[in-house]
Amino acid sequence: MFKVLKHSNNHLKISANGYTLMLIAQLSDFEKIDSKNIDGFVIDTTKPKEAYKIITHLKVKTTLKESLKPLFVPSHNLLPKFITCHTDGVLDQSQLAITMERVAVITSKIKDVKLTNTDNYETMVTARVLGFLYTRNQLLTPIVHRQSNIGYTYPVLSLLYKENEALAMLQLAQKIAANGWGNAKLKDHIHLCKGCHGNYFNFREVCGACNSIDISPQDMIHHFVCAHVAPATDFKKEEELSCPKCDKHLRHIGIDYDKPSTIYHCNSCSHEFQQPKMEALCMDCETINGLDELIQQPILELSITQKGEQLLFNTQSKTITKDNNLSIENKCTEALFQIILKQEINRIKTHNCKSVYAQIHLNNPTIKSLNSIAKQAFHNELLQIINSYLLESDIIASESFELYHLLLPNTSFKELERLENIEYNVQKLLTDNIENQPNQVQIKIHNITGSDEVGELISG
Amino acid sequence: MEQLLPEYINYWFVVGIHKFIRVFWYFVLFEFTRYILIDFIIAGIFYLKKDQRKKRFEIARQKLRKENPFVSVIIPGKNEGKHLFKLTKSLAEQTFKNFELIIVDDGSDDDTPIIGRNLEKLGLIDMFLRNDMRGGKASAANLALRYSKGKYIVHLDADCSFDRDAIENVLVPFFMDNRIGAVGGNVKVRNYKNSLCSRLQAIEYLKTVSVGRIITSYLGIYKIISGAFGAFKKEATDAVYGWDIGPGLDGDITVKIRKSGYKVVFEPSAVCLTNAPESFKVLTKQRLRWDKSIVRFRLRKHKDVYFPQANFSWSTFFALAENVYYNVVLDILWWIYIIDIFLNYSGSLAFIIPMNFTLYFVMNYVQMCSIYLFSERKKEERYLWPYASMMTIYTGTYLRIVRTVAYYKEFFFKRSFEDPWNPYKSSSQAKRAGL
Repeated sequence: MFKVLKHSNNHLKISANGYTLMLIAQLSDFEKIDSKNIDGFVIDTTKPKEAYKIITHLKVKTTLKESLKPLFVPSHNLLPKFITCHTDGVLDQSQLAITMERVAVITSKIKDVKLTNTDNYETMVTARVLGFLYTRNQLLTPIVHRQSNIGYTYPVLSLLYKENEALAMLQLAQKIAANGWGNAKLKDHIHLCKGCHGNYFNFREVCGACNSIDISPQDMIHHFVCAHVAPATDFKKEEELSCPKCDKHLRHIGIDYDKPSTIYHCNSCSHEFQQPKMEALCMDCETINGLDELIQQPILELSITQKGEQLLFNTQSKTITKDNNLSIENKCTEALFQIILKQEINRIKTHNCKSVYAQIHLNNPTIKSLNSIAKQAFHNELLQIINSYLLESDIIASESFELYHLLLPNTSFKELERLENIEYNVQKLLTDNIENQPNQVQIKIHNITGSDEVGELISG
Repeated sequence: MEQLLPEYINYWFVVGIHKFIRVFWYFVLFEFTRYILIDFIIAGIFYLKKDQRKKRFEIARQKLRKENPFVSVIIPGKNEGKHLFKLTKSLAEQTFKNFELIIVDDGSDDDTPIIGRNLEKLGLIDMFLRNDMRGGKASAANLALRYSKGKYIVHLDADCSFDRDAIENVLVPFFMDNRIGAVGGNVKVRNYKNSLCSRLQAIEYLKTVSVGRIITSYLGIYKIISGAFGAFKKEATDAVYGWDIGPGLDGDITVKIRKSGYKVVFEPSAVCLTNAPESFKVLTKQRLRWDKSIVRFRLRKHKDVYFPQANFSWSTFFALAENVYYNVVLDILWWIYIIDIFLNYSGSLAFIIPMNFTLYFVMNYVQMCSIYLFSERKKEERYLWPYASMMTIYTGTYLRIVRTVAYYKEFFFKRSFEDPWNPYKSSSQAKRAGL
């Protein structure tokens, strides 16, 4: 398909000015090459599905630096825009030198990127987006895309989220701007379904009383001479309009009568009203949204800032995300927990009563790689489960979804049924949602004595 | 002054009773008879029948509470949005609760539609209807009537507030006599402390509305249910097809209901407070409009009540005749009286004018006593007593001149059809149809 400039190791390559581009026709081609020696890639297929797989693999499943390598489509390729928007555009053979200059610039900028520690998913996404913006020195401009759930596709960013994670994706774009890593320009506002976060709606007028769509509008007629006002049906006599109050014929609109308003009649419940309720039926999940329930989100155009560039130049991602800033409703902070625990130890020393300290630890790499929204939801759900088994006198502290400290005052080792329930239910929650990862929950139990040290207990 | 006063007193002692009546015939024959004699006779009867009336009222109230009929409270208006929230709060305080609230916005050009729709969404208004094109107050009231579901209709103005038992009390008379088709509420001035103009109107309202209507209602000749607060049987409003084009549509519908064979009464304990104009300029405009409607409706549109015909009723005849007599005829007679005095007693004006003022001054305070007897807000209304002395100028001169101008304009030029209070498209049609 493509004019081969150099043939090596049974793979097609384009080389010029000291840079080499690899032609990729299918996903399996990646397995056959050593991509370290390749400066960029060219999609060599006309099949959109295959091209999409190639792009997704390169931009999502490779390392950060690998994902930033240039990716082109050939000039004769007619791949749709929502695929080509993730690439660096068309590779024109007649202007190969110009393309290779671009490859050189991108390659040199990739070398500036030092950030490697991107084990957190959100951090990884942020790094890839900022990396793309830095190495390409361009705007991240979302394109209108009818097949997308939200009506827009972001270059690169959209590849990193599933279709049903559009809200998280949009929030990340806002977060990049809010943290000063990117400049944002408002391109559009969209409205998303409260159920599936899609934005393909059927907007319709319904009865305000029974929500029926079976409503019919009627013109109101005002007869000037006698001031009678009623729906047009009251005036209709066969083909003519006749006033039911004064029996006069209404001949001329504007002279004899006018139509000052419209009134709706609900054919289901007979309610009459002037302002029908508007609702939006989601055409994906069939959820009915009130207009005030639609989630409004901005579509932002992003460009990288100096602060964003500095983030890429650092080796560690210090501030991209913090897992330990999740809020815990109605529960105490870890600092306060330590004070209470210390007080409990003193109480036991003085009164010789029995209390238990328990530590619940979750060990699950899958949860760790979730974005902050999913993690927050998971954390809240776990807290609800744990809380539901605790007594009012028990105290819980947790600043991360992985670790929970419990103080169970006046409780002996024989009275730990609630901890068994907690273990069973948390374990069930995890195994139901995350497969093939047994023994994810560990509970350490300690009978508090007067000689215990808070630091030792907490650190386990 | 020391010489003038004895001379003045001596003059009136010397002239004798016959000449006194000859000089002050207008006062003796009309003003004294109507506003002193009749008022106090009725007050006396009222006082004597107080317990009986109270008992009848309580029985009717129990009937009302037992039946607890569904009532439609309708409020037509233009640019009344600013009053709506307060109004809904005032109505929420009512002792009678079984009502729907229908508000009609007659083509407002301010924020009324936004406010109305929001209140409807919040459930403070049951139905908010809007006509994008203004059609006049009658059309707005008719629209509300078309969608009302109540057995009784209570018509209110948006800028009014109500005593807690006002709606209950205005409904009670329907349970006293089945022939009653409409009940007028007692409208008083709320802003009487704001200006001299509103104070004088407060006294005037007490005289003509609170006391005047008790008298006419007692005599069975009550002829105007104020648009600010009145209740109607739905069957009665349906029988007359609602309101016709104004201005003066409240008096017009009352007459139409009377002509349909229903009784119309006034209920003094159903109290509504309204804001009166605070400047004489605004008041003059308002009164010109009201007074024109007397000629238009009482003399022209409903002239049939004065002639024997199938539906002739003496009470309706007297109701309108009293209205025309005490407004139009006496207004003409007053000018004749002025001319008579100037022609025949020009040399004695120095004695006549002060005596005239003295008579009216005394009459005003005697009338204040009758107001005091009938009032249920005696303490608050004491504030107005000093201003009663100015009522001679206010009603005796200012309002008479305004009335004369209004009658002249309406009688000869039908100016009420040009009043911007009603849209031209409706007024022109009504004028052509002779309504």
